[in-house]
Amino acid sequence: MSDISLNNKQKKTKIRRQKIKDFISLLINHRMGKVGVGVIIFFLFIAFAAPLLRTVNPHQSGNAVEILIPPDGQFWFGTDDLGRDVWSQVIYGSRISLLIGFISALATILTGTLVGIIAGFYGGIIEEILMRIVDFFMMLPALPLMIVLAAVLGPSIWNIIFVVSLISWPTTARVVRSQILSLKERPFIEASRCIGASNSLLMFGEIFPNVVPILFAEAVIMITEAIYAEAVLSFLGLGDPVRMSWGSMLHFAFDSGVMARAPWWVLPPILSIILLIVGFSFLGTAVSDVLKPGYKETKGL
Amino acid sequence: MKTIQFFLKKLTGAFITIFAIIVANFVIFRIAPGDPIRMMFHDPRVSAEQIKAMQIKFGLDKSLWGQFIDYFKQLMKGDMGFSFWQKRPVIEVIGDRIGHTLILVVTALIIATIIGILLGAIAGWKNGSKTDRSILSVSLVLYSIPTFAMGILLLLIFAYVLSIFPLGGISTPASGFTGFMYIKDVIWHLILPAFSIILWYIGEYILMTRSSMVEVLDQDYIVTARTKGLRESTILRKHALRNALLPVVTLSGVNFAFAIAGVIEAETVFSWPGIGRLTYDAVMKRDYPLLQGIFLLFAVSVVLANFLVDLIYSRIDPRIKTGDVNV
Amino acid sequence: MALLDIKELKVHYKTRKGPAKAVDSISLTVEENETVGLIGESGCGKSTTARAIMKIIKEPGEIVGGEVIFQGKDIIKMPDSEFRDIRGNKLTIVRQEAQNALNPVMSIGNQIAEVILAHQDVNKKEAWSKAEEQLDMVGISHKRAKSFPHELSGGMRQRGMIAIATACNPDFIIMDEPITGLDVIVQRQLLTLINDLRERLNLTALFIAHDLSVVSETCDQVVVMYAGKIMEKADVVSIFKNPLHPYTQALINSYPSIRGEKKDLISIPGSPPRLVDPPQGCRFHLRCKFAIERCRVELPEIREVDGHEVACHIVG
Repeated sequence: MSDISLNNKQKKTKIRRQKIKDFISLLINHRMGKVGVGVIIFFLFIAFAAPLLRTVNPHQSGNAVEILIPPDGQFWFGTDDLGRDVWSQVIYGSRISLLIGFISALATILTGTLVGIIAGFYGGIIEEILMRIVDFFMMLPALPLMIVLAAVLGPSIWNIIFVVSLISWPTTARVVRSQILSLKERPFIEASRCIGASNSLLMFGEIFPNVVPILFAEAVIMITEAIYAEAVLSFLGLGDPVRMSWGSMLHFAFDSGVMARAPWWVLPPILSIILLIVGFSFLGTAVSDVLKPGYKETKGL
Repeated sequence: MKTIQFFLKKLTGAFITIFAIIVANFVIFRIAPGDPIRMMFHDPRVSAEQIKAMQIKFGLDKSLWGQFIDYFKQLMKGDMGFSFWQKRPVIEVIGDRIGHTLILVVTALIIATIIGILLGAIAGWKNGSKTDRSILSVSLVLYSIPTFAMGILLLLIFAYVLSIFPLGGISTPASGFTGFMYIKDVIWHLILPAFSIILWYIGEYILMTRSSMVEVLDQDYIVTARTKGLRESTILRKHALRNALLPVVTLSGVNFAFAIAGVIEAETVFSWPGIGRLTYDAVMKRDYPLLQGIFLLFAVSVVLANFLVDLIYSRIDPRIKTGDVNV
Repeated sequence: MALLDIKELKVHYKTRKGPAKAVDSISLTVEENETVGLIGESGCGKSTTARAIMKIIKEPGEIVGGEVIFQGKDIIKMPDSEFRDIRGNKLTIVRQEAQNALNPVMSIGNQIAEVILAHQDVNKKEAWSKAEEQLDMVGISHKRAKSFPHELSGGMRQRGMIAIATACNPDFIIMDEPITGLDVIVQRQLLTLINDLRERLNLTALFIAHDLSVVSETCDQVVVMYAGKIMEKADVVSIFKNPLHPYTQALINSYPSIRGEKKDLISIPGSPPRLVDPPQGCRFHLRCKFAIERCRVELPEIREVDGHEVACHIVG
């Protein structure tokens, strides 16, 4: 008896692994997926290898002579109005964007999934209340709310993560709930109920694994939006003052009034922001394409 | 009868949401760490007595509930508080700026919607073709560029380097332009900020229309239209586009909220003297009453926009009136 | 000359594992004023055949070969602009599951008038009154002409589809499982309507069904399809009385008797083959209890036996 169930478990793991392999290969073969994955790996590399990439402390200001120097052998991307190395700021900036992107997405997905599962599974008054809250949050204009919260809470990287997550979880909750509602009607759930599976076992053992692919797609979107939100907030002067991000570089450049004289100070962070967001958007498009039913059978011919 | 019921239901919903927004707006500015009066002044030299006096003046010595009642009563009278930075009532400060923002938003949204829907419909119709792929890639890229980044790029290229357009503001200072010349001058200043919003929006609308179009084209009734021997252009216009635009209309309320984000970013970059730039200035000056007023304005206008969209939608989708489809 | 003459029609669906041969070189003719029934299990290619005739095969499907000659012209090679005048006019289709086949934001009257306007030289007013006549003819009051699809029942929607398909006095109508998915009473009413119209309008039709009793009531000739191939063709009386192909026999045995007499129902063991790599030889041999060695290696040609056309090695 236990042998059989063990065997089944191994089989299940094996099938799951194969599915993940298939998914990744489809993703990499997708035109946009390829570009997206490439860009993201590039930035991950930069973020991890930052200290090795001929960088100095990005906040360390130079002397009065080294202000607004155009790119040269020493300062590859020139310096800003305080004589700080733009190259180092850009390289280290990737860490902020990615960190905020990943942590916010994680927080969003966790909260959203939990709320979505509870609402979808229990239904009734609990669902009603939770969905009303979700609707309310979705009705609020995101950027003004983030600005207000960030301004009130004070500028720090953790506040930005908190604010971004607070804005984003309702979308995930909605997606997860509708998924659960359709899963609930499937025969295999009925079958598990009949053999006496408990609610929590049903939720996390049977239903949750079926939501995972959608969560992955959601996570990619959330990372994209978080990176975007951080850039905007920092540009508006609500960034973490002790950690220079691409958005805050642009804030300082814009605020200095000498932006036009120092394109080397402005263009690298702008292009980095655009490239990274485009990378995640492409990946997101690829993921949602690949997850469409029938994609595997018909595409990539 | 059903239409009236639908209207009342939506109206009640809007009122409840607005009330919730007022509560949230009140709460957010009370959860701030530190004393609201201190926060407002940011000045350590203000003495304890002065603060005490201020607290009494602004009713901050009352209970939280009492404060909320005061806040609500004032709002109902049209009093949104006092801007510390401008030394004027918030409602006046906002009132001065709102027209400028409307000019920018309306222009940008109309242009972006038309171009976006057109290109999105073409891409969806030619789903999978080379045209579709290029439109899709371009729109994804446009959609991925934050409006402020686009604004800075446009500013650098077209204002600083090429000097075709002005650097910012709404009109040439001290130009003495009147009448037609003034309007021309304003349009001249409008182009760059409008385009930084438009370009993002086109991306958004293309993606939305395209995916809606692709979905509609897969529907049975498109096959029916084809079996009727209709011209492709007729199928596109009468069957595909009409249905494909329904979700686009539904989402235009949500899009209005995004438009606010675009306006804040574009107005900031181009110093356009509207509510968006005012938001940035209020943040920089830490003028919380002003920020509170602006947030209320934005949030309420989004609710109203959504209410309006619901009404329009019930006109164009015959399924709504009989309650077959839940909006 | 036959009104519709299908020659070696091939429709493939592209898949990762290669093309699935949904319709594999079938030939079939329909004479004027004749109703031909096309039957088989789901997935045998009968609906694909219907869609191929209307040229509404969707990606990843594709007509890869053969001819469909309608009134003397091959419509497969015909340019779209020319075929447009035939489609919906002389050659029409009623498809299964009309639930989503009508445009949700257009009134039923407009959807009928639209096809009339496209093919006839009339103004909008005339088209509208013709649409109202059509509605009366199919048993929906013309007062409902301004109704939207969601305000109509499933049966009424299917009647609406019939009204659209017959609006321009077609020469040939394809009924692709027109009553599937509706409840029994509605099915009965629709069947009566279809039979009635067939006589009144002198229609030539291809009637696709998986329900044999429906076919027995409506058709003159019956074609049995299995896994993309035609197995047997004969007139309706003789196919039920004297089915020759083992698959036809199995199909008839698996259905309750049409006359209501008691008999044992025998289901067909196994399931239809995958069309990506169909078995060698006869498509049916894996499920056939009479299969011999030859059936496993050689694809049977269609031969004439006892007035039937049949593709089987062991018959006759």
